[in-house]
Amino acid sequence: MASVVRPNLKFFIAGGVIALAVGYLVLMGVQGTTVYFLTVSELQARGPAAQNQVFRVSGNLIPGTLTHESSGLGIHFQIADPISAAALPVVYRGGQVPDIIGDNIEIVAEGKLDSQGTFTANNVLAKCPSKLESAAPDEHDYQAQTP
Amino acid sequence: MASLGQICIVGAFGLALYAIVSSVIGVRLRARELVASGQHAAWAVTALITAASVTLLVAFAVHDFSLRYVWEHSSRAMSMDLVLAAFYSGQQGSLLYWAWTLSIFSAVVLWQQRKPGPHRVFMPYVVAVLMLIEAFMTLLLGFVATPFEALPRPPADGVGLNPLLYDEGMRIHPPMLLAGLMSWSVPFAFAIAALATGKLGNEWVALSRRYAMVAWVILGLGNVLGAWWAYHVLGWGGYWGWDPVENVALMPWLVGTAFIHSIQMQERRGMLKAWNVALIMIAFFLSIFGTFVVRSGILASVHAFALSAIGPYFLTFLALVILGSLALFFWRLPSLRGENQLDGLLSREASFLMNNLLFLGITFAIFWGTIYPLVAEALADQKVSVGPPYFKQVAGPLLGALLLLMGIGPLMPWRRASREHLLNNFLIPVAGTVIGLAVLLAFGIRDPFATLGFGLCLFVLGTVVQEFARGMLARHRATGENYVAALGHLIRRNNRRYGGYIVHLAILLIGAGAVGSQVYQQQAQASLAPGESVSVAGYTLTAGGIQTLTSPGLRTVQAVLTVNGQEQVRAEKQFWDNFPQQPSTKVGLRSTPFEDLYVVLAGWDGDGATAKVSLAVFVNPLVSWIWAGGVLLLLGTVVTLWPAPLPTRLRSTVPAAGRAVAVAP
Repeated sequence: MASVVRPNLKFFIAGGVIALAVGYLVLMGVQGTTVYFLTVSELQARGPAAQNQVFRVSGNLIPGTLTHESSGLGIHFQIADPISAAALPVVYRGGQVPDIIGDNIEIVAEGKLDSQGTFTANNVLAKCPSKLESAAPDEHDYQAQTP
Repeated sequence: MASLGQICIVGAFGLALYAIVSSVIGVRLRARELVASGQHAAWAVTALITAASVTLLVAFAVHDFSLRYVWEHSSRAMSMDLVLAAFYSGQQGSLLYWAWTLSIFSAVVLWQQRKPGPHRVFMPYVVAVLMLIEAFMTLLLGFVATPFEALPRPPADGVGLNPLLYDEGMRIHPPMLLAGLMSWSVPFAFAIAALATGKLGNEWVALSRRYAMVAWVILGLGNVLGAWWAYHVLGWGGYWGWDPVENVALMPWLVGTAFIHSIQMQERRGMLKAWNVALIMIAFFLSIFGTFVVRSGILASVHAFALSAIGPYFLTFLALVILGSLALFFWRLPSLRGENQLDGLLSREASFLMNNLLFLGITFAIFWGTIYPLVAEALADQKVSVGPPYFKQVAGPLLGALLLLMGIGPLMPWRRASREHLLNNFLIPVAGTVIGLAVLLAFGIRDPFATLGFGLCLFVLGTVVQEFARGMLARHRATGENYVAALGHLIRRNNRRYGGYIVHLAILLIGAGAVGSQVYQQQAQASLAPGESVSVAGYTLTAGGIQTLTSPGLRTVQAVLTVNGQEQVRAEKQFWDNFPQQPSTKVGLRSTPFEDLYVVLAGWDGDGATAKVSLAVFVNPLVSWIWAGGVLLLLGTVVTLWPAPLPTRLRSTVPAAGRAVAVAP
């Protein structure tokens, strides 16, 4: 019996090593790369402690604040929570600006807050309000289209 | 039109329920007529869902905007092929597409297994399982999310597709991916049938192998096509973003890959029986989980569809399927003992086992990263996001280990390897890897990640080439055929083995493409007035203002750039009249076998030939290798699935001058 059992022990050890390696990688990965996802007011409530740590922050683009730098592809804008008025200035020089960025669009920016309170984003996502599906007829001007 | 489609779907739902009941009761009572009638009902389900699908396609083709779904997803300005592709562009239509593909798969299975034989014992349960899934789909389609909802007053024109979907990719990526997810139902049905009948030997594995291979290649291509689409439409210079929806489509494929490897252990050595059943179950659960994530909008993603009511239905169905399958599994577990023990760590069996553990490990890591934001929010009330860094950091080393195993595994003998065997088999590939790496170093490859990645790729390449060369030479010596004929016959006679190696080469190309483009991507941004230029990695792009093109329903703004004073590349933004606030990007792409010049028009100032353009320019090495890998993946799978020729033994008994004499054994 022993000669039959022993080979399987080797495999349990080998399998265990793989399982441990996967577990270790997952644990380290989650600890090292998870980014907190905050609203503008949550970010500002953290105060100076929030500086130089990567966050994801979401808010709506305040109408009229979007400007393009004259040289390069940088953009500046301000975002705020729908309920509170405190604005967060954001600068983004990453290049690919989302196609649908514009007034009142929900923005998700990933980056760091600097000491002047400006959020320097290295990634900006814009949430399309209607997603990939078009909105339902009552949201569109359905009545206007009917004869 | 609306009521015809609706009647077909409700009818299919009723017949699917009937097929389940009559198949199961029929087989329990040994009533052949009942079993046969269940199969006839399954055929009828196929016919009805096909009729419903054709009805919807016709409604799209004739612009019948009295159907809300047609109105929402198409417009008169769209070309006919996109109008027809709009069929699966929304929630309800893609559910119908799923139900349709599943019904076609069911019909194919019924047709292929129609002849009497040992497989017949499985068929009632296979039909019952497939019809159970079909009943769930038609329940949703008939009563929760129907594509046949009528609008009281038909509008004159439709809303049309979202601009992101106006692309060649739309014609092929969604149908492939959706069919790929659904196609795991078939091998799953065979596994459940094996558990239900207690016939847990090789029969169900042999029967489901082909279906699993087909599911595997469809889902694999669906993923590659999705990457290709994202690459030339989204404009961020990449092709895989570790987005939740990408992850859920990758997971069943990874587990499926483990399955098609580990079933060889059962076929050859009678081992891992319980494991194989478990793997195909997990692959199927993950497919349903994928459809749930895609359709419920529970995880934020570029693919997020409108929030809908069907999420809870999917979750309930998934929970019931998991509970039912696990109950069957544990009930049969005592009969799922393997017939053999593992021998040595250096053996084919051990390689397959490690391969399986790694595939499951990667799947677990991806699963955890994908759902972690949900877990963190539910347990710690903390919103977090897990992005590409996590997946690269975790999956990278595991994928590297798999690549290494892809080289080692095929060279390992069954049972255990001797020292001479190892030396004999590994000398050439290892030597080849060392020489190849020296060449790469001479060409300036220094990055440790790239060196390791390319080194692993070279090692696998060496082992595959050695296998082909040895087989070809042996056949050449034995038969006297010339080298080309010997290679052709070798592949033809051992199609499973050499087709598998071709697939390994495909993975190798994808891996090398991923390493090259990850490590050596270069980019630049510039705002250029006409005549000004920007240089990246040996390309000099000179701006020439913009051109505006108009066609019905569409305005295109095009930056025309001259590359190195000769060729032109055009980077575009498209503005569709029906979605004016949402322009879509068309990347200007110039591909060579070794690198892509990839230009995105980010913005412009002014008009016509004097406009200043803002560009993001990327140079992406080896990306086209990934697409070539996709093609080779399909080719290799076709080779493995190609029916094997008659055994040589029978042919050789045919007299030289005679023909068609030897048939009987």
